[in-house]
Amino acid sequence: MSILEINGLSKSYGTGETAVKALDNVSFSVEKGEFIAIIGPSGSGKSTLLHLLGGVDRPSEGNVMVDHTDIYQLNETQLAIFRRRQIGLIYQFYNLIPVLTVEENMTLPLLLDQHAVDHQQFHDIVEALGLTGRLHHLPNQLSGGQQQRVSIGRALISNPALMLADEPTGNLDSKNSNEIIELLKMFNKTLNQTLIVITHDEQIALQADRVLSIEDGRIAKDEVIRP
Amino acid sequence: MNIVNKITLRQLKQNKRRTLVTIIGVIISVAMVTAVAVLATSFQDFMKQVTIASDGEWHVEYANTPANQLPTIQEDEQTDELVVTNDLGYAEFDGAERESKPYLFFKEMNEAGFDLFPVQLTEGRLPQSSGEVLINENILADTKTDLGIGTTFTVDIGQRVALNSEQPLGQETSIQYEDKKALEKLKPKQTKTFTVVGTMESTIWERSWSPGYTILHYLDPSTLNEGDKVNSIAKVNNVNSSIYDNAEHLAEQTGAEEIHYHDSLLRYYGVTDHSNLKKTFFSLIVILMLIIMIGSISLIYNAFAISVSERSKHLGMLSSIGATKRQKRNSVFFEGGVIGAISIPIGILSGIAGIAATFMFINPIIQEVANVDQKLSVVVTPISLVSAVVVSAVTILISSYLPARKASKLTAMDAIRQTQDVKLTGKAVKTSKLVRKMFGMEAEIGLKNLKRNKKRYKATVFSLVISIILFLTVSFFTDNIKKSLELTQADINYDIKLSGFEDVSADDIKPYTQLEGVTASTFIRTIYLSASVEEKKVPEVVKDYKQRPLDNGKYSYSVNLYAMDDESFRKYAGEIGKKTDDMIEADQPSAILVNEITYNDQSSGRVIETEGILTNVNETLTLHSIRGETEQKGLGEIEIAALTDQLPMGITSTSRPGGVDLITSEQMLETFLSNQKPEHARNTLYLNSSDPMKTQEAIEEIKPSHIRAYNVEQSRQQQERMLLFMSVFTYGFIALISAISIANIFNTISTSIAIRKREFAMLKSVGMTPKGFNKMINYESIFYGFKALIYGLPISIACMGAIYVSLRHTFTYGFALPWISILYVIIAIFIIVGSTMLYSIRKIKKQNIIEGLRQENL
Repeated sequence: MSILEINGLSKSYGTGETAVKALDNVSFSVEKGEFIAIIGPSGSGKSTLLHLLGGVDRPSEGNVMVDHTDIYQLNETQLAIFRRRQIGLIYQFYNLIPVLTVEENMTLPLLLDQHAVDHQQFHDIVEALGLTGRLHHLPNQLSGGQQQRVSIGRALISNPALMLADEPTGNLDSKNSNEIIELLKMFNKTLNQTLIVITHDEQIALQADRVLSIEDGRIAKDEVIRP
Repeated sequence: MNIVNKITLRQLKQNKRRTLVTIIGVIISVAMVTAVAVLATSFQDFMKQVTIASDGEWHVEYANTPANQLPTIQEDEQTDELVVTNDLGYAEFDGAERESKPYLFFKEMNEAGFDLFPVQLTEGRLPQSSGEVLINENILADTKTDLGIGTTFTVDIGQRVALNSEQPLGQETSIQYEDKKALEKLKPKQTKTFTVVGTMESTIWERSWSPGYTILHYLDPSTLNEGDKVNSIAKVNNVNSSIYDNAEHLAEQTGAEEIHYHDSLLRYYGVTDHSNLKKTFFSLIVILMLIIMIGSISLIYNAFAISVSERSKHLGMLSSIGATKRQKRNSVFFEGGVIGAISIPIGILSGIAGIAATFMFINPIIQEVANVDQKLSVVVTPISLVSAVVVSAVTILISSYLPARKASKLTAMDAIRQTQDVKLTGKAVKTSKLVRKMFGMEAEIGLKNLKRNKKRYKATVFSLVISIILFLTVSFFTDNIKKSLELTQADINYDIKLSGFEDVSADDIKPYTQLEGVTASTFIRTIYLSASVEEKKVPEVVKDYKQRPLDNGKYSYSVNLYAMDDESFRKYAGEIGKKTDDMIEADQPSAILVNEITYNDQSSGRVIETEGILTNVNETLTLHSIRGETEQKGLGEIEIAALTDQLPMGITSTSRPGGVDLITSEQMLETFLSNQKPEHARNTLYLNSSDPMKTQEAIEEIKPSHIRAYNVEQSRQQQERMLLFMSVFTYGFIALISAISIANIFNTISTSIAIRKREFAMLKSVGMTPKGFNKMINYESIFYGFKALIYGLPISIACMGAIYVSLRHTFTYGFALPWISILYVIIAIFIIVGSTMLYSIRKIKKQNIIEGLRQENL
């Protein structure tokens, strides 16, 4: 059963002669529980693709079906609520709110929804991320690796349909990078969480079930590594 | 609390300095709005008190109410207290010493009347039963009559009527005389006996020209007969617009003949529409509040805009994890709510406290200036409070609206792309090559920084411009009033002027020259006459103005003939270069003609200077007394001894076409009049004193009520206080508005510098020296100040011009720019901008380059 279906997705920036086609007629589908790595050189369009999957940008053409919902048919408020409940985004620079504590940052999507926090689930995630004892710290009191773990926690808290990570280890040293990838893999396996990761790092790409190579806005290769 | 608000709150706390400056700015603006509202209600109350003190605390008068109907009015539910009053009439005053005041005027009132009308007891007690009276203390001061307290006297009381028409005359009409023959008589109606129980100050029923001294009798309404008609005057319980209907209804019911309303008091309750006062008052308040709102909106808007741009990354991030537009927008409104919740109560309290303190300071001044005993006291009505809160809340709402909309539009992509507030305009920012050549690269970068960040640059310049305009126009206005005052005082070289109506004789006022401290004096007798002038001697402008000659082809001139005491006349003649010996000794009376007139022509709006009469020395003028154009009585001819354009001290020019001033000596006037008594003559004495205030006191002690003393020194002091009084409000207002602007500038500049931390680090990393860096910042400040002045000064000058043009008739001098104020403004602008820049840059200077470069944009 595919959780994500992309059909003829294109995205252009600018108009006329200066128009740049960042994505050109991309189609593929993702099964629930898959771990996909997207690789490609700078400017190939992989970040654009990720943003379109996450519902934070709008495509020029084509559609994105998440769990059978065409997300770009939604109005802005519906889309915001969709992101809050169905998408977990992890950025290279963590993007935590500096004035909120670790606990508040992690539960932010639920709090935006005025949704009660499932304490058991929260506790499990905190423990898995190794953040016990850090819950009342502010982001700037944590190391880079710890901050990235908080943002993973935030992405997981609402049991999203899709977890999207944009160079999650790009700002970390190799030890921390490994730990983050191990965590992501663990959640992918134990929670059957669908995971799409953009990376430059071939070591990381090789740990995925399937690798999509993007060049000049098109899918150049679609390899299944582990069926 | 929801999470977005929690974030907002913590961010406010984190940015303590900016939040504080914003809160202070809003407090000032709320305080000002409150002050204006409270000032309005307090002034209204003050005017009520003043009016009550001068005219009495009453609202409706039912004239000629049948006495048996009084209980109907008394028991009406709107009536609080009822004055029953009646004018008994006049009686001959045997001891009268003044021709213009030969009567006693009797008025009677019940107890409420003595309570509600301003009756100032000076000695004795108020009358308490029928037959008891209070007398005007001037009776004892002006005459030798023995009407002291305890005296019982009997008089025939009746009506004053005009001889020819039998028309009754009252206190508003002065004694009617012609050529020492009375034109009125007294028709006695009843004989009454009274006992004096006290004396009082002159009352509101007695003008300086009134022919009768007031005596107030106690009226016991129960002694009135069935058929008697009296005036009943009601103080109403609860003043509102229903007062009119109710009064009319009552008048109809009781058969009262006329209704009079106390409009001068009612208008301060806001219930009468007879005057435009309400409208004027209201529009003044609205204008003041709008100015405050503009000032504060630009501040608060800026504060919110800054806060939103600082938070744009977080808002975008929130958006990427699913915050809706509404949540983002509401976070800004929430911020406004928090700022308002803190600032509005504090602002209202400090506004009230500020007004209370101001009142404490100005009460002594206002009592002196307005010559009243009432005090301005703080009156806070629910309406003034509610309007202050509403105006403040609306101000905050308006200010936060645009930033809120911007916040709601911030998308996740904005956060991801890290676009921030400094948005480059599409095309390259052009700066003049001149700037680089003259000031160097640093100046060019400084200017580019400003131009690139247009919105914020404009907001800062705008608030600077508003402050400049406000300061300059208000100071121009007060400067001009001050200058007018000085001008009116400039030509005056006497200290005290004593004058009166026609019944003040030379012998009455001349003794005052003997008072202690008097160093010099001038006595002037003024006679108002007319002259008929042959056509050939009348200048064209005067013909145009007067339009048609008399029947005999001559033109009628009004002439003011001033006769000075001989010594002063000799001195004046000497000043204009005329020897007086031959004038005084000659048989033919002669005079000096002041023959230059200056007047403002209504039709052309131009000031015209011309000769009054085309005449020469040694020619004569034929003078008449004034009594209508047909019935002129010739007085004789007077020779023109000299022509001049200079008036003696104390005399103000008539300055109108068809009028001239003649100056002569007392002795020559005697010769000229040769025992004829002119109709309109006044005597005036000008005194110089070594201690004007002390001399004034001595005069006040001995002078009778019909001589008026005008103390130049005192009136100068009064006007100065008036000016001070105005300055307190105007400069207070400017100071607060400027404070808001400064808060605004501070917020804007310090934030724009904080946002540019990374840029500064970059500039340093590519080798900008600390000196160069300072230079860049200095140039930025200079450009800010310069731009503000470029807009502010011309607009201010235009506003001043507009004020000048609209008030031209009150200005007796040319338009002059207030250079000193302009200089202050220029200096102040650069100091404010420069010091804010320096303050904000202090931290950045110390920062490590690498830290700065690494710094994520806030």
